[in-house]
Amino acid sequence: MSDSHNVTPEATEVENNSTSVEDSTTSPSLKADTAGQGDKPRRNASLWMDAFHDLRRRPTAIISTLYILLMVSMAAFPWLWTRTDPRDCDIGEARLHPSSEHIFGTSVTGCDYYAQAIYGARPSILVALFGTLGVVLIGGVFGVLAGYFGGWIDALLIRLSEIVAGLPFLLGGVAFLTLVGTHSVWAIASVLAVLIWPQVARIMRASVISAKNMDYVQAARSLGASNTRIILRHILPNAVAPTIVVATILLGSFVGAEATLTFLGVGLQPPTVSWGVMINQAQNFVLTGYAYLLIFPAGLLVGTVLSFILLGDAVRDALDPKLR
Amino acid sequence: MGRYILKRLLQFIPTVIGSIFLLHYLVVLGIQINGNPARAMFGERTPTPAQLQALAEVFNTSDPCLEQTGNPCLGLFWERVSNLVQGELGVNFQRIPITELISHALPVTLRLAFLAFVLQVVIGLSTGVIAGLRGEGVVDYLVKVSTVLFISVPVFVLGRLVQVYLGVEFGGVFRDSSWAPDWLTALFGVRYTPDHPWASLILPAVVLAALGLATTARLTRTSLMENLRADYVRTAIAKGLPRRRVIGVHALRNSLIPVITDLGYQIGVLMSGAVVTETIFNIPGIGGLVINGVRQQDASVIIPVVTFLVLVYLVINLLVDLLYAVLDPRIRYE
Repeated sequence: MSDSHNVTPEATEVENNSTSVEDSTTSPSLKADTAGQGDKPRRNASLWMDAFHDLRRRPTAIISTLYILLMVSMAAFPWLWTRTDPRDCDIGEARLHPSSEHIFGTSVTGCDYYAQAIYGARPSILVALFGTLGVVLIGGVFGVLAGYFGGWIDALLIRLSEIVAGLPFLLGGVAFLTLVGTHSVWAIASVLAVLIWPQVARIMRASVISAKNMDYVQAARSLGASNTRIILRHILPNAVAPTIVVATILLGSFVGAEATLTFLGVGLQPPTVSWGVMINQAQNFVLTGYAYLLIFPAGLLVGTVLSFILLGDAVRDALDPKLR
Repeated sequence: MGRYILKRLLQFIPTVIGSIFLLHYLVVLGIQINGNPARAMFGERTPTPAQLQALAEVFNTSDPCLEQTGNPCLGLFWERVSNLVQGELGVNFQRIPITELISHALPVTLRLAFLAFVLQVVIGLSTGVIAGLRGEGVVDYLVKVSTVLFISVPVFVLGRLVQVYLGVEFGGVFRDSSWAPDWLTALFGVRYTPDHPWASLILPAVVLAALGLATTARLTRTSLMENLRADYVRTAIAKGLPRRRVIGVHALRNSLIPVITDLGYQIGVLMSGAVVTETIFNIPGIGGLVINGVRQQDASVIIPVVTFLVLVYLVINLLVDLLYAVLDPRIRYE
């Protein structure tokens, strides 16, 4: 959602810009034409405004955005949600079932489980955020280069992405993270970025190829615009939509991926508190009547993953003009 | 088609070498950042340099390039690949050959993957077909909801929930009773029991299959719905063919092409996804080997076993691509 906000002014700016380029070069009669068009009420200001209006009418989009905002506020300002320190633990009060004093109960080591669940949002969401940024950066650059330049660059990058896609992320992640020894947010995010980027590169490449053949790109090129300008001003704003959809969905899957890697023992580790770490620590007690130790962090986790996936789906539907 | 197969086979070689190299580079980078994994064997004790050297030679980690961060260690890579070609996978920290470990673990994982695959095909296809034919009904809705749900619930959470509610709570009824046969107790057990090599793998297989099952159902549904609107189906109906034949021969056979391809790729996913499932249910399969390696920090197990799994994954993908060309004559390589 915030992504589409960021892009909106840029996309409209591009439209304005391209008209101004036309203005300076085309004949006066054409100029009058464009001016006449400007008088009409512009209902569909841009694809992004249009999509935004569409999204506002979708209940799943609203609910999942609200849930995500809730989780992000936990990650950014946990003290808004709880005054208890998640590391202030009393081993004598270990594994207390939920009560009025500890609404989520207490953890294996006697910490307040509610405070842990709140503070656990930050590492989980940071891994997802940095991982997705990395994937979009690597995959985006490679996809644009491959799609725009074609030829041997394309062939090389396709081959490279096939090679990376040939290594399932779970296996590569386990191998690297075991040996690297440090179990930080950065290590996990970078392994995700390095192994998942082909997904974005492929999509970016396809949309760049279809944008490349548009008339306005030909026009810009015949006006002598440089490759950099064409890519940044004309192709990227028109090819970025599918990538934003995938990135939204990836944010969700990466929250799940962090927890999975942590579960396998190669992800984040205590004293870091994350949802994955909480689930992992609860494991040995889940089968002996302490199911709540699993349910609370897993519930927050699943809600987050679900929200990102549903939001991604909603954005995809909103951006697809064929469905209107 | 001959050309396609030849090209695909030729492409396969650089892809395999590339993927194995990527794995090798990740591993080497990990060692370069963290230090010699042989040291982990000694735990808190400090090994003498001679001891460390001897161990490092056994585990192939004595190469000086492992101390230069960023160095791709091509010599080591070449050594690994040539060992791999000869079927030589080295030994673990207890000096047991990795090939022996794999040959013990593989049948278990294959059984698990096979059960999961059968579940995917039988349940996934049938619900997909029903949803596709009825459209907008209860089954259709279930298929849509379950896909999103299974994607969002990480496998290990689903596994633990199944274990708690079906294994402990529901299975407890059978364990406490005098009438329940052994296999029923094993079926709703909490972990794998070697005495019931099939029954005790069914719950894990359900967990392993869940995600792929939902995807298969959804794909079948979409593909069937699309094909039912196709011109040739309209023609077949117009010719007066019975509905069974129109659906069974004309629509279904064409809709299954993408589904079969997807199912093929799923086998590879099942093999690597088994790491998580086998951890949850304590199954001594290939995934169990990996996870034990992780727990003991035993790089000499993790690297060859992961390499093996990657190879299996790539070979299956290759076979599926070739199968696709056989199934769909429209596929041409340009």
